[in-house]
Amino acid sequence: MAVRTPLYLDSGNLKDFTTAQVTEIVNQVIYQFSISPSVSLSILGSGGNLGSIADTRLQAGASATNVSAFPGEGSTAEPSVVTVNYSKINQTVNASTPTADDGKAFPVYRTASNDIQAMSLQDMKDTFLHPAIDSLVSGSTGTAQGGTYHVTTSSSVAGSTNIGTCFLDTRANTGAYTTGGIPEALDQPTTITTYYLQQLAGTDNTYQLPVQMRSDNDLQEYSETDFETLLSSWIRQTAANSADGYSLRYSYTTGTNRGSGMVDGRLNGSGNYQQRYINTDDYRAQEFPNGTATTIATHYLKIGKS
Amino acid sequence: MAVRNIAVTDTLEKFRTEFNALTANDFGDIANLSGSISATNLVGAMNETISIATSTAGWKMRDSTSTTQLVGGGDIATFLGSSNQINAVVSAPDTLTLSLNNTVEVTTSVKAGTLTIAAGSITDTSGTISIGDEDLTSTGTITGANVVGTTVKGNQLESRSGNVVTVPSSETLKVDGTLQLAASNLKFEGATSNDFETTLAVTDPTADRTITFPDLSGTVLTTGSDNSITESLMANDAIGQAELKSVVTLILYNSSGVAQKTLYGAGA
Repeated sequence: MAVRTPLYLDSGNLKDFTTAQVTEIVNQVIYQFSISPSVSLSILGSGGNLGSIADTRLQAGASATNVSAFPGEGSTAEPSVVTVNYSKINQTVNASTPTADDGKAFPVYRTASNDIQAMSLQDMKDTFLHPAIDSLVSGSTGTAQGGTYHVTTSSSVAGSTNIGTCFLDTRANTGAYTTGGIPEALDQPTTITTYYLQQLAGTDNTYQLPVQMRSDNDLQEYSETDFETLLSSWIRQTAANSADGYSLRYSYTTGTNRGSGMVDGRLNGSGNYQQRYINTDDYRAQEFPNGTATTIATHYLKIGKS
Repeated sequence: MAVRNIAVTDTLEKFRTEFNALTANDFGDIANLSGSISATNLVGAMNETISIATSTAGWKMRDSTSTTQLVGGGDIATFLGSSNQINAVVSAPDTLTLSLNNTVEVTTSVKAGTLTIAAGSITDTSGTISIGDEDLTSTGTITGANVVGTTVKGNQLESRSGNVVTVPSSETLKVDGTLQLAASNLKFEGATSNDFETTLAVTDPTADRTITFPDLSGTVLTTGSDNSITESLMANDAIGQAELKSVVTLILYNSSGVAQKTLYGAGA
């Protein structure tokens, strides 16, 4: 690993970047990723390639009837679990064609012998690209993760763009089940929490433009356009197709949790046995969902590098 | 005695009688020649007679001072030249040829008009001796208060006094050939005649050297010309790393570590 200290022009003199100035370029790399991420998520109705996460809830057992007496609790169907699988998040990876290293594509730095050398692609990765990826895949959800996604329980979050609903935590609506309604519809859920997929916004920042070696071997400060094009193409390439462990990917199983955990809560009761007398020839009974809400599973959107 | 003539139409008898008369009367009898004449024919007798006649005659010689000298019959007049002056040559018939030697010597001087050539001098009372467009050559020394000429040739030029040869300010000493100087003796007095001169010196050459002044106007720099060299004096691409003090290098490498350019600068 070779983290380089690029050079910049200061009133016509060449100077080493400070650590803070290098960090500013890393932040610019992140911003370039945020405005054109090569790994993006979207919300589909179903069939998203990130996989499925389940929301479970109780529903009432089927009602029972008898012509002479109420059906006993033992003979009344128990509440059952309803499972809804959510596969709404779809991950898209866009290939990128970055500027090739022709020996002079990247910024120059001062060598240990005080000569000047153009950074190699590996230097670029070690100095700018991989630190940017490390920041992007962290568990934080700020501008330093611009362009990546997180899950919130609020539809509107400052600094993020709501992509869509990715998960619902539903539960049996016990208030909806009434004795007078027996036979009640079995599944009468209510949404406890709605989870939203949000994309974090990046923030453009000022930074010091470094110096490059021109084709005629003179030194010149990058133009802002050229340098940002260079950063954008390579961070897109790195996030999409890194061959050395810095590809950025989302998952429900691997990586760092990103945002709120999507809780699958469910009532834990064994059934609320209820009877309804209609007439002397119609005795009814049904077990409604009951109990305390418990967490069955917590699903996380995860981000990682590989 | 009439001329005897034989016409074409004359007879042989005519011819015989005329011939006999010719030999007997006109030529005479050879037997009657003087016994002092030894010749046996008429021509020889005549020659001998002339010889005898001239040997007995005489003549006189006279010089420019009217001094007369008689040369008697049978005397010999001797014409002598003078060594390195006049040659006298007698030749037949009766010829005396006088000529000058290739080398003519006179005791005092030779004059030609106002020109006098004497021992150690050639003078002309007109004040001028012209040799026209001829060369004046001397293996010795030509000395003069004023030597004037389109071309003055010689191997050495010396002053008459003071060890200084002066070319007047109005004049130009032009050397079309090579002006060869001794060690370091090209001195410039400058506008002010004083004790200070500028000497153009050379180190004793150990081989043929050539120092060329360019076809340019300007001031020649010396080692004393501190802080005088300006950018305009240096040609583009003229300064190399060797001219830099405590040279330091800055090498520009590409990302593969291959040197692309080396910059040289003066060190601290």
